[in-house]
Amino acid sequence: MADLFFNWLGREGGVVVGWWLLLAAAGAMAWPLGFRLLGGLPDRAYSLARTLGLLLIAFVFWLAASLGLFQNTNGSVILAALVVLLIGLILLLPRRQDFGDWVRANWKYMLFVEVLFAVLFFGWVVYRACAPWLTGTEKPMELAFTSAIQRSLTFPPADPWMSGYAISYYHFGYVMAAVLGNLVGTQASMTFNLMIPTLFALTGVGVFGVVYNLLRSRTLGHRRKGALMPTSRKVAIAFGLLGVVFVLLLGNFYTVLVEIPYQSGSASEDYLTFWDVEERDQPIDTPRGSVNDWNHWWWFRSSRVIRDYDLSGAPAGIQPIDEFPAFSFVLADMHPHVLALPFAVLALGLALNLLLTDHDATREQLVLYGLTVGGLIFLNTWDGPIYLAVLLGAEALRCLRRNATGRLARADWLALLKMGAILLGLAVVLYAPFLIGFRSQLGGILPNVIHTTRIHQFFMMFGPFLLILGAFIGVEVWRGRGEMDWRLARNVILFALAVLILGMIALGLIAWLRPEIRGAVYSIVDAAGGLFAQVGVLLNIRLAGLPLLLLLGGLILLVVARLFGRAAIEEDEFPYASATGFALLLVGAGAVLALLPDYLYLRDNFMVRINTMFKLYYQTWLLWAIASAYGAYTILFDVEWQIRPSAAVRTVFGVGLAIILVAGLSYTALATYSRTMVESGRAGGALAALTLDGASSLARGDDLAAIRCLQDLVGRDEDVVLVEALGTAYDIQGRGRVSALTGIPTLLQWEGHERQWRGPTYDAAAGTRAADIERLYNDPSMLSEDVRRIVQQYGIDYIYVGAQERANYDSFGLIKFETVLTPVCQSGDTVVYRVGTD
Amino acid sequence: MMDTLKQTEAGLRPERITIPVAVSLEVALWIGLLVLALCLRLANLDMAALSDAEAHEALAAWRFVRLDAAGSMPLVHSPLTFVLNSLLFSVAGASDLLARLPTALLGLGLVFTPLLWRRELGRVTALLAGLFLTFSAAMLVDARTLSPAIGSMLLAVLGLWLFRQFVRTKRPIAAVLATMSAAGVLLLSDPAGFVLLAILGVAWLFASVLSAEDAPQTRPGVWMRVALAAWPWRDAILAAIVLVAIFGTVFLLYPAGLTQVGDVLATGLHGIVSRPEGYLAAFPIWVTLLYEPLLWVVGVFGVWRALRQGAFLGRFLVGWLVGGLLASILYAGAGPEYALWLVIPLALLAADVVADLLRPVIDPIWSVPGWAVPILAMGTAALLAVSTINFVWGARRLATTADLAAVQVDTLHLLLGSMSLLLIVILFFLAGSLWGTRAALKGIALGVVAFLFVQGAASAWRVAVTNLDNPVELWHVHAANRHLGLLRETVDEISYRDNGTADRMAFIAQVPEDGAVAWLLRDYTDLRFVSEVDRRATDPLIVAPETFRPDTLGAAYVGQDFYLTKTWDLGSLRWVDVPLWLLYRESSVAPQVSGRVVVWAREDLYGLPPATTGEEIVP
Repeated sequence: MADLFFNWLGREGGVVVGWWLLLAAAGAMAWPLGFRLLGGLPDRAYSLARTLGLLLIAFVFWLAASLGLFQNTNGSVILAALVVLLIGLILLLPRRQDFGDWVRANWKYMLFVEVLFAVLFFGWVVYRACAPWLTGTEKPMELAFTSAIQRSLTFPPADPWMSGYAISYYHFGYVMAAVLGNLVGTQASMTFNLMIPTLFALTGVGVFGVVYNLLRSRTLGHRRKGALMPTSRKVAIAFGLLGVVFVLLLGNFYTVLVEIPYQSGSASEDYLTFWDVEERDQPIDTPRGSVNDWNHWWWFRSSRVIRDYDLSGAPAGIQPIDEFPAFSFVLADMHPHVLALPFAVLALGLALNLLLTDHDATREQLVLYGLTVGGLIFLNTWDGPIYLAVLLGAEALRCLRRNATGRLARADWLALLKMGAILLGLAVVLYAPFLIGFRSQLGGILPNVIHTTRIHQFFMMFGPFLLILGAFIGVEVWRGRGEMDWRLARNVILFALAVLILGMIALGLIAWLRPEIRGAVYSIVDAAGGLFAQVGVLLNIRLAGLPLLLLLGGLILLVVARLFGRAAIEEDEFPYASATGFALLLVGAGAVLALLPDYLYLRDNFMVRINTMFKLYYQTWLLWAIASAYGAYTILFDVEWQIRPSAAVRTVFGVGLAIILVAGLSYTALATYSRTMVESGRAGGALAALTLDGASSLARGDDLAAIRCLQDLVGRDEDVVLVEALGTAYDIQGRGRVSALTGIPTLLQWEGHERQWRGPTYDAAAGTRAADIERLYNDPSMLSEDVRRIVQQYGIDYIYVGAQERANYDSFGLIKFETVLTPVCQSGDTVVYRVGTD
Repeated sequence: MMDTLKQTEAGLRPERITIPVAVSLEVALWIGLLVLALCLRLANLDMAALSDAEAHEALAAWRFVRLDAAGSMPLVHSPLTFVLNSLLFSVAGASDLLARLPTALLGLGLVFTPLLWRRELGRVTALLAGLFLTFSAAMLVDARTLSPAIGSMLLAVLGLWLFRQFVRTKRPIAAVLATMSAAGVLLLSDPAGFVLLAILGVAWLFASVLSAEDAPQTRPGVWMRVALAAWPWRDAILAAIVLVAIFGTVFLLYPAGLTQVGDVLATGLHGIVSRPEGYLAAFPIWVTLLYEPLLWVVGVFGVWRALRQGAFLGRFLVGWLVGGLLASILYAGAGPEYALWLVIPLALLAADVVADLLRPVIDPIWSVPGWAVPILAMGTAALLAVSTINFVWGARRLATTADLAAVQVDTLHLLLGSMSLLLIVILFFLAGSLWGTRAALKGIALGVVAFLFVQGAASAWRVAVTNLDNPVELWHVHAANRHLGLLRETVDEISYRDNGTADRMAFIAQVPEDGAVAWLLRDYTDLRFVSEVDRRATDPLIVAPETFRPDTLGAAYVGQDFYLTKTWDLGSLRWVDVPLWLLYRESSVAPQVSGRVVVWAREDLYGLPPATTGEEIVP
């Protein structure tokens, strides 16, 4: 293994180091701006600098390219970086003395952050080098986007899977990946596997920074009688690292509660039936003691712990997804929710800065916040509104503290509305080139009547944080005893419930006006035995969801009561520190997000809550993980001895925390082992070489040689169209690999996904492409009217004939290419033909 | 009465106003220099076809101006050149002369930049510096071959002068213009502009360190801090941004032009780690040593003199030289065109030495007549010339050696050459005995200077004009075929036969879209560039690499090949060839053709008389 490692290092080490240096440069370019605008953070945004740099440089580059000022070249990116640096230096110029002083005082911290980033980045690079595959789930799609953007000279980038059209998806993250890939000079198949560790490390350092800043702000901003020594840097660093573990490395309780008992055969049928996880609800026939023998992709199940049933009592056809960051990085899909993760953390950092700043946001800060919110919309649309709400929540907290009355005045509410409008307006204006052309499958909000989350499954998913946050909230209630505003909290909960229920009714009524929804509901109800027969079932379903409602509602109630605590507020005697308020805000926000899928969902092609739960639970994990790190600190190490829990409580909590860590980390440890050693065959003695280039997992031998030949032949400035065998979603045969690896647009691939991305415009755009591809390959004559029409209609330049085409189409149809067309690339039986102009 | 009439007429006649016009010798010399420099830079400017690198820049401008031109627009390496060429092409059309003209004129401007420093350098030194720059090989080749280094150097020198003006006068406009010049160097003129700025930074540091013991008010660190504190940063940065935006987008006519600005930087940064094929390490140093011997020989003395005198400008120039040497060694992408990094400071340092040599000898002991030193110099120069001629004979004989074991030595000429050198020594002692050592040294030195100057000037003309397509010249790594214009004539001829016009034929070319051949064919709007010739092609003309064979095409073709570039391996020199190569750039090993293209004409057109269309055919 050591030989394999050093061999790999010699081959690809230079590229990895180059990539790392680029990220460092991005951070250096943006930090002057961050230092100036995010001065509320004790670390002056140093931990967030790389993420900020990537966002700002990519934004300037993308905007200029979209407006036709730039082409997609390395020079343009460098110029964009210079612009960011220049703006930062101009802003920093009046405060350069401060900058120098801060650096001199904090250079050790800066060094630590660099080391942390390097450890996280290089560590996950090694993981990906051991498991570089680009097959399975949606990796080919993500690869295709990256290739296409790396190849496109102009923006918007061409859709690689529907020639003649631009990408209709939130692709900002792929722009960032492509920019880095082009700068370093890697093919997309390697860019992909370098971007995953980038996201891992950026998220980790960002989370570390947010938690660190939370803790250090306890020293720097809040004074209270009887305070012990201020939070030491070491304690802040330790809990910052704990935050990193919670966000990035901790798994849910699925592994210890279900998977291990299942695989070891120690679980009874009743036990497994209780947890009711799909494919794990019956005991195994042959116990497997070693993880080497566990089911293939056993770790995937941890993202499917919530199980929905339909009205007939059968498991729903499409189950919800409950992914979490550790799973995401083990799976290593470069999907928008993963691409957006570091920037969601950045948004949290900005929110914290808002809270810790002792004045209203300046114009420059508002622009930065708006740019970030808009960036999140462009990265992963769902995240935009969520973090806009968190920013406004932080501003509300700041107003609360400023008012020192425990209430928000009317002027505060108006100011919040105004700020929200400004940020949203900035987001829309700054990202207008994307928003103008964006089409999606989303078709409104629908009430969720049928599916609720059972509390034990919710515990399996969020158990680690529920336990920690439960203790944290408990301690906060104890600290705030006598100051809690129960009445307000109760009113808020009741109001929220009323709004929720009325909203469900209203949405239901509105949806009923749509014939297709009416029809779908009728068919579901009829299939389940009629409406009256289902009333009882529906009631049972809602009752099953009641414990979760009580749990999350209770959390929200406690948070509100604590935040708006009544007290005789004298100077320096605000009921809680800003950092505590921020953590409580995260708890409350997470609870709201976790509750929503039980009552509402966004209508998409699936027509169930799969995506709604997926996106909202993911953010809940992030918010609760950070809040948990702070909660753990404030229970164990809080600076203020008067309100620190007793030693016994702290001891029990400490032991519990250790158990949670072991239980949660078991998932990541076993999953990474499985991926790198079992799936690769290394555990069985195979000497699989390490590499970051995952191309050979999609195409091999002659296939890959022909694809690379085509890639070398076709210049970036050539507007060409390729045809290859039509593949379906998650195509296990690998159809769609040519366009995915080269970025050259093909006629059509993964129809289902294209339909999702283009929504109601799909049919008009796709037309008869699917049938035309089949006709083109199967028709025995190149001169037939059909074939000539297809070639001319779509402007086809290259036709790929490889193993997939031979397996899926008529051989008589394929022969015609040999006799008429010019082969431009050939390797074995794989041929790429050039279609002439006549 | 006649007298009275005359007197009356005299009274009526208006007084003639006379304006005294006096042209000083200095002005006359500068005018003469202008004429000389102009001639050297413009004469036969279009004698040789554009090389690939020149064509790349010219085609960008051409395709920007002519929207129907075939091919896509390449990204330029000098937005400044792009703008100037675009303006010129839009007014006067495109040709090899016009493509090179703006750079040639910028080069002319650079020759006269010593005038800006006349006060510090002195009249004679400034004039001599102008003279050296006029005949400098690096200046001449760069000016005549669309080199972006000319523009960046001119902007840098102007920027330095503006900075000096600001320090002296505190006028904000000088600071703003200096910042704009710096932005131009960095982003608009040359990929290695940032290297030039770094060199100037090293120069300043060097001078500052050496000036650390000077009086406080004259220390560079002190007045620099004062200057930076007073600098109008906001206005200056804004002006620089506007300049980059305006120039980068060609006065807002080409919004995507900002991509080129970024690409200038990217290309420059890439040069930190990547050396172009065929380039030697520290190429600018080798080039200046070979082509600018005068500047090195005298410049070294200038370095010593500057350090001894202790003036800031002298130290700055020495620092500039040091920075240039470091950059030449460390910057992998440093090609021969960046010899300017060394030539500018060397020229100024050498001019100072020569100016001192030209001062009359005032010796308390010896009575030195005014004609003594010039005569001595002429004699020295003549003897050096005789010596060189003899050594050249000897070198030629040496170079004919077939077997290195039996070296052919022309002992007679070697002896004569050595004797000539010995005569110089004798002349020195003779002159010294008559007029003193100082006069003798001056005379000899001036003679050496004169000889080296003439040698250098000849070498400069040879490398810039005569040997422009000869890769035996160290400068021309990939020497382009100067007669490549014949390819265009051939294509025009076929076009006449096809349709009676010179530029309306539709045909295909499998050549780079941004190369020399594409430039030659720029007027053919119906030309299609292909990456591979379709085997069913029946176009009247196909331009393809020599590896292409038309056997499988849809028609019969007749071909004529043209070589594109030649290369020559420095390593092929035997030690017996070195002297002749050093003196005359001759070698027994001939250059090799490294790229060929073939013009394939359809057989039915070949041999036909031109078609008549009723239109006037303008060749």
